[in-house]
Amino acid sequence: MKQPRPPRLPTWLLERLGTGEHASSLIGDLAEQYAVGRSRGWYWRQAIIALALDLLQVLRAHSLSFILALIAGCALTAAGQWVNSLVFVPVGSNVWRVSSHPWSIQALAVFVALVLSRASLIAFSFVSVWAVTRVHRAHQRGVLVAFVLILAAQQSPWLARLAFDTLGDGRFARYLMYDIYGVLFQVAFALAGGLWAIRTQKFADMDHRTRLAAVLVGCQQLLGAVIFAGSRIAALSPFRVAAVAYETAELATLAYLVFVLWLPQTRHQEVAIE
Amino acid sequence: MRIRSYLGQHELVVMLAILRLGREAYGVPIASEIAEHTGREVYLGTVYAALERLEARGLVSASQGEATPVRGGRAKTYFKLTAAGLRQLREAHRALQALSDGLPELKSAAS
Repeated sequence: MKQPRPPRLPTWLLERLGTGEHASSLIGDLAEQYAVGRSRGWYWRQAIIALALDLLQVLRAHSLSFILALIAGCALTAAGQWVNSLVFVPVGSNVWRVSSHPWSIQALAVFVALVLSRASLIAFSFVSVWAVTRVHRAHQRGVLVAFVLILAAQQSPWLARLAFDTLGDGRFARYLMYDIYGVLFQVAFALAGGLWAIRTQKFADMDHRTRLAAVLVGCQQLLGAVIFAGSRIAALSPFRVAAVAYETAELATLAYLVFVLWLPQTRHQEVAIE
Repeated sequence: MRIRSYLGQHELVVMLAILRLGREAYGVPIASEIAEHTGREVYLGTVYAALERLEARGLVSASQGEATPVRGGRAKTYFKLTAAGLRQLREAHRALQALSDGLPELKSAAS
């Protein structure tokens, strides 16, 4: 007789986030109970409690390093934004001065500054998640997720206000979409960077999907920085549709990289369910 | 990590369940045994959390069992009390008995 398949999402979460020494046996126990007639609700409750206890146990044992990791990550992110606002934003605000002479030396200097601006934000973002996962090593994925949630939460009051404004005036919808994209990009990049920082395999040993996605993300960021800087200098606003398509592709590739990096490196040898 | 030297109530209950089950002590029967005798729902996560603490203190030892299709190919982990675990359980039991002996309130609650 064919056995009922346990709910996939809670199983997936337990496989990826469960840190207990006997996490695999726990999942087996849940599957065994599900096969004898336990409900999906029971399975979900058991999985959520197990994950919460896991996190609590790690926090209790390593609470100081967990908090320090989050503080380090937030401080580095703030430092990156401060450096960017101090060094590169003034250059960006003067871009209109060189728009009429896009092939001048001054325009080239602004172009380089804009590329460096984006590169510095990406570098600080990567250094932040690297620091987060190095300061707290006991539950690296857990602290990474917590840090990403903090990043998203920081933006939520502004997004909520913009959403409220959009309800009153539809013209704000464009800005809302742009800011939602910004938050999604930040979250996806932080997750991808963090998972990349804690990977245990060398680049050459990774499967071709992960390598391809990583190379693609790198190329997209480089190309994106060049296109963004170039279009600002040349004042190419008519290409907004192309920019949206490019940004969507960037986000999709980042999300795919997060997905493949999150997969466990060694899968359990599962016995076929008859 | 700081390790407690005394047994908590849940740890005590888990150890008693292991003792009752003998060779069949793995997650599911341990949880069922506790649920049957305490009358409350037991989460497997809390059972494993207690087992890991007891294992870290050397009071319980674990061994891998068989993987079955119904478990999605995942092996069972069987637990048994170590000599130190049994000793500590006896001490806790003795202390509980000594404290509860002769208390009329407990007798009336049981009857």
